Amino acid sequence: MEQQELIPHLFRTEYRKIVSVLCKLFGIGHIETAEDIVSDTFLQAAETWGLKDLPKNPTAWLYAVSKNKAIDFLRRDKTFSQKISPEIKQNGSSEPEPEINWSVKNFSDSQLQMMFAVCHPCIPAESQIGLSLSILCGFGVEEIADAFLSNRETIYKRIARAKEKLRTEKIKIEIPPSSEINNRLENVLTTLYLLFSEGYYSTSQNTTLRKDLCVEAMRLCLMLTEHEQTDTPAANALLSLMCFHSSRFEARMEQNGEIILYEDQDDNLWNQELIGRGEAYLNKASQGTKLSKYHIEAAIAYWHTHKADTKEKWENILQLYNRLLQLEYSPTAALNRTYALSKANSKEEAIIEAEKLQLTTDHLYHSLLANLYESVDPQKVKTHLNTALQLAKTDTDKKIIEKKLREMV
Amino acid sequence: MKEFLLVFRRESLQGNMQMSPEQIQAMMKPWQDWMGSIAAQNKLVDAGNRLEADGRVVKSDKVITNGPYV
Repeated sequence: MEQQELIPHLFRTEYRKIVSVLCKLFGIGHIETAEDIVSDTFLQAAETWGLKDLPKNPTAWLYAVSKNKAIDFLRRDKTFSQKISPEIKQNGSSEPEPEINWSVKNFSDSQLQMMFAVCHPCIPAESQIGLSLSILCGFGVEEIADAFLSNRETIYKRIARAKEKLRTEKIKIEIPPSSEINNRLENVLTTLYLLFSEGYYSTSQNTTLRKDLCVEAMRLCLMLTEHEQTDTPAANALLSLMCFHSSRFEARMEQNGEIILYEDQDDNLWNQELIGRGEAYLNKASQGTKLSKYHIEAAIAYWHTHKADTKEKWENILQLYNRLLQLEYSPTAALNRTYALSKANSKEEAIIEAEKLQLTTDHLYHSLLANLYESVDPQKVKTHLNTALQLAKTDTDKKIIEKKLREMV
Repeated sequence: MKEFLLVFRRESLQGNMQMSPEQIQAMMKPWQDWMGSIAAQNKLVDAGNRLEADGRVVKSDKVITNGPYV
């Protein structure tokens, strides 16, 4: 690997690992110190790794340097030097040197424990996502701001407030006890689901960044399935859902970030390997007694990996949406259910059902009605498309609607 | 919004009335589509539960029977 690519690459893979281990070592009150130490280490690497002086094992170099910096910090830290250090001295060892465990297992355990800490319900959902991106994914404030279509200042403040809250609430960096783990895991899954959606449905034009968000969400979710306590059916269902969705990533986007609608996608571009993995995780998810919304959404996404427009496919999708809505209402699910109804039953029935939804301020609602009235009432198609165009907020959405309006003439 | 509790009952199916999986599916579809329709309008408070199969009928003259459930 070229020198100029090496450090960014190592930053992506090692930053979060070292930060998590150090946070675990220092405690939740010192997240920023841990981050500073690792940033410093990378800065030092950038300054000293010339073409000739590249260390033989760059990763080991990073661990060694951050370890030294960590030990310096602990020596300076009052609590350590006044309370812990004398005790260690009393116990025989002359020079107190904190142990830092760089084993694969400890990297993985620390990241999982940090995941539970940053997804703690004491901070709002958007902060949980921001913190996850910053600590667990090594994203910079700028990238996070871009993903959220926000500015640096806002994101910086949001993250700082969240860290402060975790500190004052004295959140422990640990796997929650078995009595709490199910509730807490639910929260972690929600955050990963939102993180993935942020990438998948984001209106940011930056396609590389959007894909990165999805990849990170999948990596964290995969980590859950690799630990015994968190390898639950719901976690597998969520991972399966992410695999199915991301299998269409290449097919659903033009080079310039414009969305290609499902019907217009080239299914040769669907990633069969991801579809296969999605199926495997969905099988693994179908144990236990609790049906989560991720199970249902994964099953819906599974049927969407079949391109052929069969009655069977749409009947299955309709019944899944019927169940999903009974579990948890969302306007998107209501609209998608109505679309499935038009395919499984009839357009006439779907029109009646669609009119009942009355989601009149949602541009997708009018897009749906325009779709249903196609070949039934051209005038209504036009009216609804125009309303949709007025309500649409993003350029991507507006372009899709304008294209449809042009095709009508 | 006012909330309503709906109770549905029907004759239980005896031995030779057993339906095939296809028949059950055909019978459930209108029901599921109807429930889905209510839920899609965000008017479903709770999807509810099946009633126990072994209920009792309590009449005003303190007679308790296990059916008929009229």
